[in-house]
Amino acid sequence: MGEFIKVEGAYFSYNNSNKDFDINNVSFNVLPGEMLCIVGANGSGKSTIAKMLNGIIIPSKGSVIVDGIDSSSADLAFKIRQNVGLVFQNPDNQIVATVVQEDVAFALENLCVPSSEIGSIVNRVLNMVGMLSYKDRLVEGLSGGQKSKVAIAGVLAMNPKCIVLDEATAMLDPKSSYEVLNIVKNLNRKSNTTIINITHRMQEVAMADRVIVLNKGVVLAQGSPRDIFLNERVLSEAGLCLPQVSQFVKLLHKDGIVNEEIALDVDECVQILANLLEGA
Amino acid sequence: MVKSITLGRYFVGNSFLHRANPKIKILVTFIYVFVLFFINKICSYVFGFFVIAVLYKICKIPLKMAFDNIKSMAFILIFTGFINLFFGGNGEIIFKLWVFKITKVAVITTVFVAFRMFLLIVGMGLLTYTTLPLDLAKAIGDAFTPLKKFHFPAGEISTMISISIRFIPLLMLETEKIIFAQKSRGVDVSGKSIRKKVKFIISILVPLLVSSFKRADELAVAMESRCYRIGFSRTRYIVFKLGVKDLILFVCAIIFFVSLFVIGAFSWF
Ligand SMILES: Nc1ncnc2c1ncn2[C@@H]1O[C@H](COP(=O)(O)OP(=O)(O)OP(=O)(O)O)[C@@H](O)[C@H]1O
Ligand SMILES: [Mg+2]
Repeated sequence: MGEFIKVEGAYFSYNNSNKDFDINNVSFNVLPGEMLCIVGANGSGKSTIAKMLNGIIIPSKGSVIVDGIDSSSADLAFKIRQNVGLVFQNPDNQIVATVVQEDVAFALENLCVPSSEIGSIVNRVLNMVGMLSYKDRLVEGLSGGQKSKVAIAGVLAMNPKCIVLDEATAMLDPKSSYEVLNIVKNLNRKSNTTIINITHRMQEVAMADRVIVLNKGVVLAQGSPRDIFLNERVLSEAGLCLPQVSQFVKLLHKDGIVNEEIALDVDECVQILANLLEGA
Repeated sequence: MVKSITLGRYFVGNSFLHRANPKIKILVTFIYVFVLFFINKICSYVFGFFVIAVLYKICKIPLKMAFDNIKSMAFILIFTGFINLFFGGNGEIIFKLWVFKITKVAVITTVFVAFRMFLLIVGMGLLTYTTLPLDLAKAIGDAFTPLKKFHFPAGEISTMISISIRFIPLLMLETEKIIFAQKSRGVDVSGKSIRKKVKFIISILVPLLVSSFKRADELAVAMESRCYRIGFSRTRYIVFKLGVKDLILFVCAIIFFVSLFVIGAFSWF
């Protein structure tokens, strides 16, 4: 199976300088149907990469190939954007319409879907994010989490093969962000949508298939969440902090209490402790 | 304060007027304004007001809101009233002081104009209270559609209007936040002198502009990400289609207007 997105030796700089690049020789692949996480400190270039993935930003050197289409081919940019949906951090800056259903319809209008067909698509995607009953509501009156779900629905309406979440849960409380992530996870499982989650919450990293660590515009490491969690050098260099359960198990391992080196999430930690108690 | 402005003048409801096609509502309002100019019998005015008051009742909009509107326009109303009263006509003079004179014709005109203005505001209120600002804007934007033939960016203008309506409340909220932030930094808000006032306004305006540009930047990226392209045709999800109900509304409105004239023709005052 070939890769869905192929980033190859991409360079980019916002101020057109040829020395300090904001994206510096970045290469990675995204496989179809995988759940990928991109982590990195503030200013490491995560959002810039996100915009590269759907052709908003074209690398000054190197290439981004999405589903066989080079992002620099201007007349096909449309196709790439439809295939790779971007969800941003602040839903207020991405919702264009005043009424929920009209915002969800925005991309469909742009794609020239006939008016008579838009309604059923809007209903379907609003149902997917659990916002169908809010269809006629004004966006103004919604909570942050609800607005984020509307923003996701607006992207889902394009029926993209891949969704990129650029810190889409950063402004949400734990419950809302859990709900939003769950929606995305279900999409990944049920419709095999490729998910690229850009985040600095390490709990979210744990649920990815693969992680890319970015630092100052360079890919610092790639691997499974477990590999990354165990790589102390990478973690400290990228300024990342393990979730508390992981730190807890790591300390237990250091003191020779448990055999397992790390736990990715609470469930795993509970399992480790249960095994420990059983053995005692 | 900001919250009360967010919905513009729209009054949430589900009456037949709320659901009616905004284009028809605008058209009817337009004819209504026109009709008002030709009505000059108190009886018609009273009947007109009665019908409108009943409509307010049906739409469950407190009539008080219409009166509040009039209060906010009081200055203009009184001013035009004065102009009419003192300079409004020739003929039999009933009062005179220096260059000011009041004629009988002027008194009558003033009364009529007052009635007209009153009915105008109350009647237009019915349109703005029952129609979402966005729908109003869209209906008006649609009026430009025929100009597309002449390369007029009608679609872009519609999008622009709807985005502005979406972002006005956000900007209001932001302004309020900035005012608080600047106050807490010790910016003098109560300064009386022009210099201090200008300084205060600049201290609000600069951050507001900066944040608006940032917002606009993000919005542009989000729109492009969702396949928005300038200069390309797009379809429309919500099209205001004319239904039978809208035709009935229109016919009823015409009957109402005609009856205003008929009542006028058969009454003495
Ligand atoms: N519009 C812009 N103009 C100039 N420089 C920019 C612009 N946007 C980002 N940069 C610079 O590019 C670099 C990468 O920024 P980017 O927004 O991609 O980081 P990020 O990893 O998304 O950070 P954050 O976690 O804060 O969202 C930063 O050094 C930033 O200063
Ligand atoms: Mg970012």
